[in-house]
Amino acid sequence: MFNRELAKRNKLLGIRKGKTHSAFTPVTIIMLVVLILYVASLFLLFLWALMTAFKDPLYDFRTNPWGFPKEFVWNFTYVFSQFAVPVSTAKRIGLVGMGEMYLYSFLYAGGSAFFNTLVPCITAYLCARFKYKFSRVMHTIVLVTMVIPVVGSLPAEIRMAQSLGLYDQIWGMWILKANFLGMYFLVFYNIFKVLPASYTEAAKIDGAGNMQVLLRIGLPLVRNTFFTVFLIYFIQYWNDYQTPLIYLPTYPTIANGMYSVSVTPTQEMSYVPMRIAAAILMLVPILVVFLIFQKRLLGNLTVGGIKG
Amino acid sequence: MEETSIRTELCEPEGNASPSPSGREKKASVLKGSQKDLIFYIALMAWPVLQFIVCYIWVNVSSFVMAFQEINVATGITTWTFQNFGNIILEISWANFWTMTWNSVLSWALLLVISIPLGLLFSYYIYKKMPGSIFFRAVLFLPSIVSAIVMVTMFRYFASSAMPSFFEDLFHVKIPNVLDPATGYAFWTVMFYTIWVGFGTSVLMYSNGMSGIDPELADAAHIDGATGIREFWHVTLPLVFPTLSVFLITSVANIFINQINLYSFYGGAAHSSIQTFGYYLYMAVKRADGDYGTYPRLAAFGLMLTAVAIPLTLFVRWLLEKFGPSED
Amino acid sequence: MKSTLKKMMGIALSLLLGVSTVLAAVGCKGPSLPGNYTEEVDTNRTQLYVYNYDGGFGSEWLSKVKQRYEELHANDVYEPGTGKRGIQIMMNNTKNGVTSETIKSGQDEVYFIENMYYYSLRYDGALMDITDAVSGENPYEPAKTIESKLTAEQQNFYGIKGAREDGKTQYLGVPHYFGTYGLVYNKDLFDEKGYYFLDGYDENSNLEDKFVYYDTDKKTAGPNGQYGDDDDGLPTTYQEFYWLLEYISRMNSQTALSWTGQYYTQYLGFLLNSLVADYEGLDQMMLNFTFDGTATDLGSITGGSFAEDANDLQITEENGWELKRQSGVYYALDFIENLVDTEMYHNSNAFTDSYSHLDNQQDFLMSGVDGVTTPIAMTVDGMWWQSESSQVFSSMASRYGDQYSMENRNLRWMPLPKANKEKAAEATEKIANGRNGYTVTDSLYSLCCVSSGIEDWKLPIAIDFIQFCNTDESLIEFTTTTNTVKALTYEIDETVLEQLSPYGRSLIEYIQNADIVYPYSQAELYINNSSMFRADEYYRATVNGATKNYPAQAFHVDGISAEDYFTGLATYYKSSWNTLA
Repeated sequence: MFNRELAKRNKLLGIRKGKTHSAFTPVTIIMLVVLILYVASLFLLFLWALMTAFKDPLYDFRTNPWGFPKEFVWNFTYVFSQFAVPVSTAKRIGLVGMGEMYLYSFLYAGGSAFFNTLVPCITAYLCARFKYKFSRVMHTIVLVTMVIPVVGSLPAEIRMAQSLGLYDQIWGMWILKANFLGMYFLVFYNIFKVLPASYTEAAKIDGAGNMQVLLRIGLPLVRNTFFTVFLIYFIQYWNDYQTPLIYLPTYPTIANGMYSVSVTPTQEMSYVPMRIAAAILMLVPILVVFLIFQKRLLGNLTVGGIKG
Repeated sequence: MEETSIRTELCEPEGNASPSPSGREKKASVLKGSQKDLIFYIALMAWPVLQFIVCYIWVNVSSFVMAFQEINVATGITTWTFQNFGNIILEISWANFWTMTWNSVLSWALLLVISIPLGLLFSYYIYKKMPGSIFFRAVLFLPSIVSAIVMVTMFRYFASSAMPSFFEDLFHVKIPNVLDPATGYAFWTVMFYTIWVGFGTSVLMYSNGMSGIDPELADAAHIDGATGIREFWHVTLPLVFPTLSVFLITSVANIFINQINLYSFYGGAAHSSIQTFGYYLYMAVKRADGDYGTYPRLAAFGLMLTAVAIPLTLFVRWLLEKFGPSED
Repeated sequence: MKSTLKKMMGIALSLLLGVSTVLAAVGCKGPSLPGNYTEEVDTNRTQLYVYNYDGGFGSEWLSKVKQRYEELHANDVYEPGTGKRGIQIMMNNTKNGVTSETIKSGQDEVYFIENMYYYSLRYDGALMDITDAVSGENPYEPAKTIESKLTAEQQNFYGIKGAREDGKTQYLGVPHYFGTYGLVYNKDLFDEKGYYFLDGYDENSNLEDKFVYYDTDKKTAGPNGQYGDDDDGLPTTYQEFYWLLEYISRMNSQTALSWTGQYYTQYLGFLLNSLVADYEGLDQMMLNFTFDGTATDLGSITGGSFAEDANDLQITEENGWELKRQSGVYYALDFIENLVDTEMYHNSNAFTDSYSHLDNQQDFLMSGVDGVTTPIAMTVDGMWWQSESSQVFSSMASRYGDQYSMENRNLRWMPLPKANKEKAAEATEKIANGRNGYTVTDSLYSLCCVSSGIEDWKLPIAIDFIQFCNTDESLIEFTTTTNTVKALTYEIDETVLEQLSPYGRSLIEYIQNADIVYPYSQAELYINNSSMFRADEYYRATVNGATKNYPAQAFHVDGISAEDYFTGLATYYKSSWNTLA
């Protein structure tokens, strides 16, 4: 009782508590050690990868897999020059270079991630807030589809996309991805479920319609989660080469380029240093975005730190 | 701000806002009944349902039907049969089937007892804003940013090429190739990798969930004498339970679909002693690529797994709903 | 709240767009790819779209054909009334695979692909009838049809009898190239170290006494039984091969034999299959796909060793599993087991998960040259490996000198050793009588076909182009370009051989002395389970109740013996044969 009142008072006064505890306890000390070990192991791998990217593939890496590069070789120019996907479709014939691939990646990943976050979010809201039997059905559908391994449906899926005109269209992929399935439906559902009815009822009494309640109360409530899920999907689609490879022949994404490079017939691109250099090229833009936005995108640590 | 106070309400000791069964009924009855609600509901539900019917049911129904078919590619004739279910077991052999079962359950158990608790504790550390939290959170998420294919390539070269040569050059020690199933370490190496790169999403979601916890509540717990592990157990954990329960339910599905990165490591040729259900099905479908005659028995295998997975998942949902801490 | 949301999305959007734009600007300099990739559409000409799987065999040959074809038809009119004159072959060279769906609906009209299942594509309606191209008269070569260049087995497989309304045998595709796995050796190293058997050596003598020492020492006649040619002194039997491996490894401290650790299950599986085919010969080997004929050399393990059955067995689709008891299977398994389980026989990376076939090729070419590593004498690879490695050759040539170029490097294809002396003698006798002493088997299932989605007026152009691609001139051009062969029958004479690299020449000479097994048939059992009959999948065994998919893996990981594996093969296929039928 005390807590709630305190929180309400704080809310009214606009007081935000800047931070929680920072005193070490045995648990947090152990966690710190584990985390340091974790970071060390990860950085060891990345350091090795970075060194490898600067090695001459044939005359250094082959006989020197772990040491410092004998001499630093700039593999990136060559990788960049190879980083192109030949496109041959009814819409277009020619080479697609890296810059364009970044653009397609952004459009594909951004749009798909947005709709793939929005639809489960809204559907979860409906299912959690409206206790129709159908809501339970939808919840069960999500659980069931998560465990069904689907075999050999790709041809049917391609046929469907073609007959609906979604094939080889970036917006078509947005529609394909705009489903409510997957675990994040459950995440949203669980958050909406614990929202007390009185909370929305109060708004309704004030004359707000269902849509307004959704927009003014429902969505802001899951703001953090929404961004987090969006980010997770964004990265997933950024790295996804299979869907664009099959469905977007005219619009190769950067992950396609990476795939194309890794299966390329020129042996030079199959060298480990080259492949790692290519991986770094693919990683850098998203890493930059991630580092800039990580504080915001990874949820907000300061409780109540985001103003409504 | 809203999120904070809502959570607080739910967790305050008197529990007058707790969603007990009767409470839920009450809420439902308040919302139900209104025609406007129904219209709103149908209007917004139309898209997901339509999308589901077209992009999921329509597309996947053939996979379901195929499990009961025999496709004769030579003549183009398709006949009905139940034999696919027996055939796939003959193809796999019972011995391999049990190995697969063991590996699948073991990998699930490892993820459950290592990945989830560690993820929670990492999140707790971050939530507590201990030194370096922001840095650690970003680093934990790094492996999720790097595409899996690249990450595995790096790890594989590092583990089976750079590391052995490092030890041999510097210490003249021959360390076994940990990815070679002949050495007996392969499964553990792959599991280590799977856990090692798998924190990103869960830590993100947990710490996100925890960030909704009112610090006052933790303070109150402190006054009550709950510190460290007790605070974590009694205050933090119940509050991330909505998120955690999703991961728990999903993990059950993982018994049947998780391929613990085996395809990335070994392509189609992972040794049978380390295979999981998820890997077997994925690999077999890849291998059969375009050979329609062999699809039905794989579809049958998928269906068999589904028949076990669905009740199990629903059972876990029931368990979590009945005994989960949010119902306390 | 909304504004925060919008703002954040806005920032994210603009930042990503910014990054993209910068990179796009950098990218505008234009990536240039080696070889003849894509070109702009020439609106003054008619286009024919050709998909080419750009794998180990590359795209160079098709580029040459394209050029000749375009020149030949520069003045032809295909689309009257449009003002277009001449043809443009639009090549889509890619390693991104195709599916029946993409063949049906894709832009490309003619396809050169590999590892596709012909009958599954047909079942899916992806292929166009090109009977006119195959059995019709070839305008570029009036005396010969493409059909006449196919073996009887190929005609049976590709030609579907009675499928056409006019009663003719229907063709929906023709084979493209051919590929087998085997052994490659470094001849310079062999010459330098004397890795050749001494003529008339005593089998009971010390290991080193079995090999030549002085330059004047006479080598044995080698696998073909004739003195004075390249294969003199090479191992003829499995036993000789083991001696050679030991001699290289133990006496000379060099790596005797290498293979890829990442794909050892497949590569050694394909090698095993090659050994089986070479042992069994064309007729016996084909039973594995036709299930129609008499098996003459089945056997089983009794009392721990292999014994051949007293009687022959009539093979049908019902008892096809019995073929897993062929003698050649046992001997080849034993051979592979020895290679896998004897550490001194193979390279140290033989089971390293990250050691790809390309890494192996690099090491094979560079070891001993780089001044750090010891030379590798032999390697296991597919016959097209040289074009996969072309970059290593050119890089080495520019760094170490011209003797390391692909044209000059003295590498050879090694005839597979025979299981025993009797088999070796049988082969030399055949060769002496002008017959083929070896048997090789295809493992690539390559195909040339036309999409069912092609427009009616374009089909004659596609058919014409396919006929052009399969004239003797084009086929020979393929051989001189890739140092390998197309999967059709055509004459390769001395003038052609002279244009090849030493390796290419040794390979073609070997194939010329070989019967070729095309591992497919029109048997329903085969067609409905094509993927199960691929060489790397067709040696499953049940040992101690568990299914083992790959012999080499079972030897290496599970320590199973060749005898147990051999027995396990029959057990597995006997119990699971019904699942295929």
